[in-house]
This record gives sequence, structure tokens and C-alpha cells, in this order.
Amino acid sequence: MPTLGNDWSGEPAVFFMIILADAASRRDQLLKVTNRVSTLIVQQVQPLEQWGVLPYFDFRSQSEQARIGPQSLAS
Amino acid sequence: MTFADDLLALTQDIANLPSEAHRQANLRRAVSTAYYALFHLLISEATLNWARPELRPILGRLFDHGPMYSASVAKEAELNAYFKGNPPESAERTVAQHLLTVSKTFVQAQQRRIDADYNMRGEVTETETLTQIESVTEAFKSWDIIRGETTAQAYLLSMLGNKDRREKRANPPKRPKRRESKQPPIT
Repeated sequence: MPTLGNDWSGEPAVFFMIILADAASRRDQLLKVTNRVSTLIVQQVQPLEQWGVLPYFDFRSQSEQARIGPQSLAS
Repeated sequence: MTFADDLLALTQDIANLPSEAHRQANLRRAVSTAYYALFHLLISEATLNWARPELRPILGRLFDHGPMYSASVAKEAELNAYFKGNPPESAERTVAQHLLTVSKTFVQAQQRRIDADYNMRGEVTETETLTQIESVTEAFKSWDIIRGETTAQAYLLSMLGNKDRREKRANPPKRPKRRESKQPPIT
């Protein structure tokens, strides 16, 4: 679930916390997977063009998320 | 090895530590340092255009996080619009793709750096740290490919900010005088 808030400069922003399967968050896969996911969201949702919010992306593995639990990224 | 390369190598050193050494302090320093690696790369590339090497550090001090952020947000929006038009394969498209990688990485890395340095509400994970390091590493590679291109150099120049912003920084607006000053000054 994305979180709405402001980025560090005060601009309206949407923060996506994306949970990846552990296999997809391996270091040799990570860049490819995160680029694909963020590009897809930017193209499909168009956060800046359609909603006027800057998109920010953070990624966690499934096992990290299970250990930590949900937390908001909005500041 | 440049200072920016050195910073990026430091993040790799931290990432390569055994998992049990991945304390919050290490992970947060790696996220923050990766941003600063990109920050210093772009500044050093911009100042290379100055003919007098001994004055480049002074020129570099004119760059600031805010205007660099604004320039990167604007460039990312411009390039997203360009790619929306499905441009055909060309040298121009390749340059645009690499420039998009650099500008969007700058924006993302900067926000992650702020969170890593100041937001103590949550935990910074290994995956978040590696995402930051890998994306900044990719931005270094992209920059190396396009560093000679005019559009890339124009992006660097835009990071100095516009005249209004520079004047605001030099002459911040004066606060209205308070009639009563009973409160102690904030220190």
C-alpha cells in the first residue's frame, strides 16, 4: 500500500514500499528487479503527471518484512 | 581513483561485510555515502569544465542539494515525457536513457540518504541498502557513457539552480520584527 506524504524538500510525494520474494532480492537480481518494478509503476500510474506527486521506491525482501512488519516511509 | 569513486568503493566494502556486521550504523552510513558518491561525482564532472584546476573546489561549493534535486526532478519529468512518445532506437534515445538513469537515481538516492541519516522510526534493511548501492553504481556507469554529451553537460549546468534561487540563498527574506521579545532566543 503506498503512503502519501512529503519528501525531504516538502514536495508532495508517494512512497511505495515493495516487498520482493527472497529470490528476487538476491544481490545479482536486485537492480534488474527494482528497475523493472519502479519503471512499470511510473509508466502505469504516472504519479507525477496524473497525481502531482513524486514517486519514491523502497524495497525489502519477504523475510525482512516478516521480521520488521509494516512501517510508514512518509516523513 | 576520484573521491566519488572512493566513496562508492566504501559502500561496497560495507555491503561486503558479513551479515552479522550489518548493524544499523553500517547500513545507514552505506546508504548515505552512496548518495554522496553520486553528489560528488556530478559536482566534480561539472567543475572539470573550469580551466583552472586550483579553483575547481571553490566552484564546486556553489552546488547545493536543493537545486541539484530540482534539476534532477525536472530532467526526470522531461525524459519520462520523451519516452512516453516511444522514440525509435537512436543515439539520442540511448543518451536519454542513461541520463534518465542518472537523474532518477539522484532523486531516489537523496531521499534515501535523508531517511538513513535522520529518520530513526524504522529500520534500514540490507535490501534497501543494496538497492541504493546498486542503483548508484549503475548511475556511475551511465554517467561514464554520456559524460561527453551536450545534454548531459547541460544537466550538470542546470544543477547550479536559477538566478532567483541563488539570490534567495544570498539574501534570505528578512523576518518581520517582533514587537515583544519576551521569549528567550532559540539556541
